[in-house]
Amino acid sequence: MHEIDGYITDFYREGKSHRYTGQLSDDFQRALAKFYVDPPKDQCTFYHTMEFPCGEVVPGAWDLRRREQVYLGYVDFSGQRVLELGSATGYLGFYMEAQGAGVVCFDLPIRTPPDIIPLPTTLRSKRLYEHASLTEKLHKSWWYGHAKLNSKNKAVYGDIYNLPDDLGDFDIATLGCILLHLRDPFAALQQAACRTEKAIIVTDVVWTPLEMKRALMEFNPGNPPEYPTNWWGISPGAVSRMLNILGFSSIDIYYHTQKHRPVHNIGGSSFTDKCLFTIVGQRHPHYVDRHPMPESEVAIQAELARQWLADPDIEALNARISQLNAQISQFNAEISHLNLQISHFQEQVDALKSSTSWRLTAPIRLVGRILKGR
Amino acid sequence: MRTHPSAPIPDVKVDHARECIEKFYKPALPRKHPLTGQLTNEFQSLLSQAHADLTPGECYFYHTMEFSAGEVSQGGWDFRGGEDKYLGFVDFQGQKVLEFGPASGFFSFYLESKGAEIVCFDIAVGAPPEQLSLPEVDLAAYLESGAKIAKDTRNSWWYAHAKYNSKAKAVYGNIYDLPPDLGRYDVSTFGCILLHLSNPFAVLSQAAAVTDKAIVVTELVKAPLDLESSYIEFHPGDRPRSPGNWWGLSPGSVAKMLTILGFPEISLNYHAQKHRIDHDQANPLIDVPLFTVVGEKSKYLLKRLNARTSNLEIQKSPDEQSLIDAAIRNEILQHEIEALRSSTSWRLTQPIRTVADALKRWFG
Repeated sequence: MHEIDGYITDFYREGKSHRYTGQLSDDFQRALAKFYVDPPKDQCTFYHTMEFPCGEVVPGAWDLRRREQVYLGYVDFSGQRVLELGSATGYLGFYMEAQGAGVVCFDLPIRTPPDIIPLPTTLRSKRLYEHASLTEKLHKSWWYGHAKLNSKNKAVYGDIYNLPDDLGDFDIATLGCILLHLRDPFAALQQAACRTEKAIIVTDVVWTPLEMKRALMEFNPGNPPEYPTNWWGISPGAVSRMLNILGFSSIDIYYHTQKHRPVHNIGGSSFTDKCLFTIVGQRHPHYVDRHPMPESEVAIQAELARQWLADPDIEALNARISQLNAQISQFNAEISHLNLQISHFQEQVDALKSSTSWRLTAPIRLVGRILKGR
Repeated sequence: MRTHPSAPIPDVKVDHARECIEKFYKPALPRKHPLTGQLTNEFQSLLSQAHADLTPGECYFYHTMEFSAGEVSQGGWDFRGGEDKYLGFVDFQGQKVLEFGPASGFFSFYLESKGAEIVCFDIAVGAPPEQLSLPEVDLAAYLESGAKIAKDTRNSWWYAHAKYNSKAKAVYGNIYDLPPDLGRYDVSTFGCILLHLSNPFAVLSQAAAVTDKAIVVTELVKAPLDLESSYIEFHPGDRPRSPGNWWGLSPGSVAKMLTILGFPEISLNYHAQKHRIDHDQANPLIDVPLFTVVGEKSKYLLKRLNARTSNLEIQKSPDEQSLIDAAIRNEILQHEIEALRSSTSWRLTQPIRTVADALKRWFG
């Protein structure tokens, strides 16, 4: 028996190996810089609008200029070691570097597509190819900015659900509008939490209904076929609960709008205001320093929270919930009444079947059944 | 640090750097899946031998199980009499079924008795179930006890397997990475396991890849009840000390996931099943509301057991459904009483009862 047990246990033991280690060495960073040296601008996709010291402004899908602080929850990055997950063109990573942070930017491996929802109407291989090309163009845009800004930020590419063992530890991790694009947001946050000592900053898109009290996530919200990378509409409540569970017990939330071009169409659409929320989760007692929120912003925050939290849809839903709860109570009362009746009837049936009359006439019923040929 | 074998050497030329970087990020070659070969008769026989001669004391019964000779093992869930509702009223006769998370196997052996060919997939031998790292719980202790419960639950499956002389096969492994030789199935079933998994969509994707006709998902009623919204709730708050409860799923979220995975013909029914809180034998059985979503491929619609899955009925909420169930039961009993009272036997013995009543009155 022991031998069989040993065989079965060994059979199910899984081996573990890790790829993507060794990327933070100076040698490797130099090699990456050479790999992406002088990328032609037309081979880059700019996710962020970029502004360089020479005065050059390259338009992107998101223009976060002058709204960086609220996007990053008013955290003071001076002297902090930051892990930026999902850096795309890198606007925020370069901003944090300018604020005095040492930044490691993590993104998808080269020519690797992001998580794609296997929508039935999606031509999967075509989509995968398109998104793999997009990853490459985004990497090029990051290195374009890196060279222009003479940045010291380091790039690491790999699997966000299995960060390289030698990535190191950080004071702060940031996830700017990437959780909605990940098939497993909690797993990604868990990976970040393992490497982060002080704070995790999560910014994500506001989906209605905006929910703080419950940790709701909507699977593949909106119109699916066009957006195979939109996995989740995540509520601030869900992000808060996840960060709490991962040990970041102090939660601050900010609401803001940022300039965004719908479907990231840089040439063909103008900016609209996109509603976002930012949550700063901090580990007690390792708090980070914060910039004071400008007076003007305090009023805006209050107004946005009022508008979004008091969404008429929410009110309508709450009214519906109350109505349904009343209905449930009524049903429960009726069910209890019916159950009492059932017990009463069941007793009657049992009494009838166990009565002397019924037992006395059993032979008659038997004869009756025989005569009927049953 | 150059731990990776293809990490580049210092100060290389641009062309060489490109070559090194390409090589570094090149996808790893797929290696042989470690858990293949489990469906062979030899391996099944080995598993059976490894779980031979178990006593009930070595088993954890997740389900109440009824064996021959009146032996009943009490479990946390008692599904006796509620099987068809739980399984979406699907007719399993002649179907090849992959059951995910069979636990003690109540449904494995039920489905087998209904004419299905069963393969059960459960957690790898020696592994604990996934647990949320809640700050207030001792995760190591939960993982250890989880692994022990998984082992004892597996024992209970094999105990029942022997008792029923079952032909059902068992495969163990990682539900997010099914062995490639698992084969193809007509129907896959998930009975209250998605809430315990960190990534329900990934698991359904794995099932969809090996299922030809339908996926049956049963879950606890937790999140919004409608089919229109696809909400799931992360670690629903009513049980803060349950690290195994990852999600509350709405029927709409399950329906949407199944639709996306190519099972767009959705039907839904609500039902109540008997459950002991915390799976504790000391607790009484209470009714717990559940829902079952069946997603089918358009070209392979399965037969259903009766008309209870009509569109009218499947749209009812659990409370409405319980009310309907109670009302139906009430009506059936009333009919039964009327039939008994109008039967020849009852009418024939009327004089005896009259005499008996008179005697009772006479003697006080």
